[in-house]
Amino acid sequence: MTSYELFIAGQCANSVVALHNLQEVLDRLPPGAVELTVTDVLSEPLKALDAGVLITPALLCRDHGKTRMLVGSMNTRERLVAWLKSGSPTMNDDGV
Amino acid sequence: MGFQGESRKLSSGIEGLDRALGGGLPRGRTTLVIGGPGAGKTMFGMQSLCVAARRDDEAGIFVTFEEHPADLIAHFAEFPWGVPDLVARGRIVVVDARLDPNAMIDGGFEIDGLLRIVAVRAQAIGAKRVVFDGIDVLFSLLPTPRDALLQMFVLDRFLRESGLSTVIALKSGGLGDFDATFSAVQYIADCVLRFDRRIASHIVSTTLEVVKYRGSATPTACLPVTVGGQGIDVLFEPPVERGAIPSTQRITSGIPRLDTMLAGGYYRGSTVLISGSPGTAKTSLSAVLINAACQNGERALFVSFDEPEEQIVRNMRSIGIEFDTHRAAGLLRMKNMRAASASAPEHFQRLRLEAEEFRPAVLVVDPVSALTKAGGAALANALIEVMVDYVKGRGITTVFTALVDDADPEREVTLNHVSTIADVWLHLTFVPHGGERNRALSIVKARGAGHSNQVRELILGDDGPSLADVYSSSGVVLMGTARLEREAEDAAGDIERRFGQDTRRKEAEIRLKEVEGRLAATKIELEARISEFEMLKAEEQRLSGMQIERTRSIRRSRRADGP
Repeated sequence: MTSYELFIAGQCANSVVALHNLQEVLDRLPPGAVELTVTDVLSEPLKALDAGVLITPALLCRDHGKTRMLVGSMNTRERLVAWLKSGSPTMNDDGV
Repeated sequence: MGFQGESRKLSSGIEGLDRALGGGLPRGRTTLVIGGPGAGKTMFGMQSLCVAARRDDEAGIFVTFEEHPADLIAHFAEFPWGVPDLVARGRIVVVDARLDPNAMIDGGFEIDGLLRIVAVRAQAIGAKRVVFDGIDVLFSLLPTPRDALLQMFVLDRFLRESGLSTVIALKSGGLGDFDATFSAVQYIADCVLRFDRRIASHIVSTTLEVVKYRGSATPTACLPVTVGGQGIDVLFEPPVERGAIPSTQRITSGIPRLDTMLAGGYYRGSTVLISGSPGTAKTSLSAVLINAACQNGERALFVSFDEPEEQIVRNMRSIGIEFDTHRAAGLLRMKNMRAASASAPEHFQRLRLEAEEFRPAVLVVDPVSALTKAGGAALANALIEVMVDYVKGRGITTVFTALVDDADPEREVTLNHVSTIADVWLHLTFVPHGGERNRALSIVKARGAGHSNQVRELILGDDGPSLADVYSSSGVVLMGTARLEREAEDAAGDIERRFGQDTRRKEAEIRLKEVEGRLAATKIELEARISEFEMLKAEEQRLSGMQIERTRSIRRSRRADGP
């Protein structure tokens, strides 16, 4: 199982769009394939600072001590899927 | 400026800039600092935080978008602000707002989270100041300039609500489509400062321009800037108050006749421009002022950008001015600044340092052109204004010499500017005549003094420079040997003229006598010719009478019957 952490800033436009886009892709995956934690930087700023995330929305994937980051509203589905796939080899092109 | 005015502003950490801005940056508001790479934006931000932290124990937040925090701290460790110590003690917090270079960026993003973090950190250490260094880097990663503009609005709203005194450093130019956006957002700042860095003749010159400052009077000219081991310094001297009464005391120029021409010498605390081409004795004319001041027990500072001190001492000795005596008496300080390859503002800074320490009554800057070269006309003019404001503020009687060089139009610009703000302008020229080049002095202007319009010859004698009348003859001004010759000639002029007339009269008399003689001779000849003619006529008649008588006697002998 791959763990992702999404940092958002409350109801800010890009964060809202990113959450929506990401959810749409993740919803197609079988239950339990990935784990997503959502952190609101506005209410937990120090947690975000510790994670080195200051710009939102930011999607983090921690894998064997390496952290990959995707910043932005994730409007391009293909890019999002490709990014998610590169951290999760079992995922197919549809994000499933 | 009252208490309210003071409290509205806070120190920028740069003394000269605080003076120029009437106290400093807008408190609780945003200051935009714009400039090209290496212009000093980052240093400006760091200096403002550090000076406040050191001096007033004010905490500050530095948000870096470009440099790694460790690099940043190491970079400024050399400066006398104790950055590592301030960071270690938590008085300055560096927030790393750089994006992970490996991060993939897709779509828009917002800075609300970042601003929340800044607010939390600021609250934790009680910071009232924040610096955003290079936020343009982050904004240029947004998909469109419109997104960048929106984020600027977010920033603006945050800063207004937080009440933090903010410095936002932005790069000017090189941002393509985003440039327009960043210039458009100048409105979010109450104060906009622009650094301009130029390199000319291998010397870097920086100026600062106050683009705007809401609700505050600002200097209109650009301000010379030095960037050195002490950080940034902005050269600004408050102009002498309009209401201030200028000195009516006179100080001798060192040449009595020049004093007379100036209706009593220079005013104390006035500025004098001595212009001329090379070798016209600009330095000597400055030296006599120093000599006179020192003889009156006043201190004088001689700043030379041309000749080494000892060479000047030697040269002045040749015209009877002993600088060594004054130096030994501690009245004269000479500084040669030629060796240092520094920018013009740095030169002025050193000059000011000397003056602050020595507190001279008289200052000579020889030549001022050295201070104004390499940096463009705007910087030169700004520097001259700062310098004049400085010496006026201190009441230092100052002589600027200026080289007039037709081949260098930039210097001409400089000269024009100096001449505009100088109180007295003396111009020296060479007047070539009869194989000599003589020095002519004219007073182009002398504020607040009736002054002579006449040109004088400047003579460098063994006992110092003096002035002589010039000789005007047939509309030509004569000097030197030509003047002496003509003076001598004219002393003998009357005799010569009388002698000349006499000769001509005699010559005329001779010519008259000659004609009279010729006339007499002609008369005699005429008489001779007349008598000759009469004689010939009489002879002719006699011969004719004889012929008739002979014919008659022949006819009579031949018994002819006709006549």
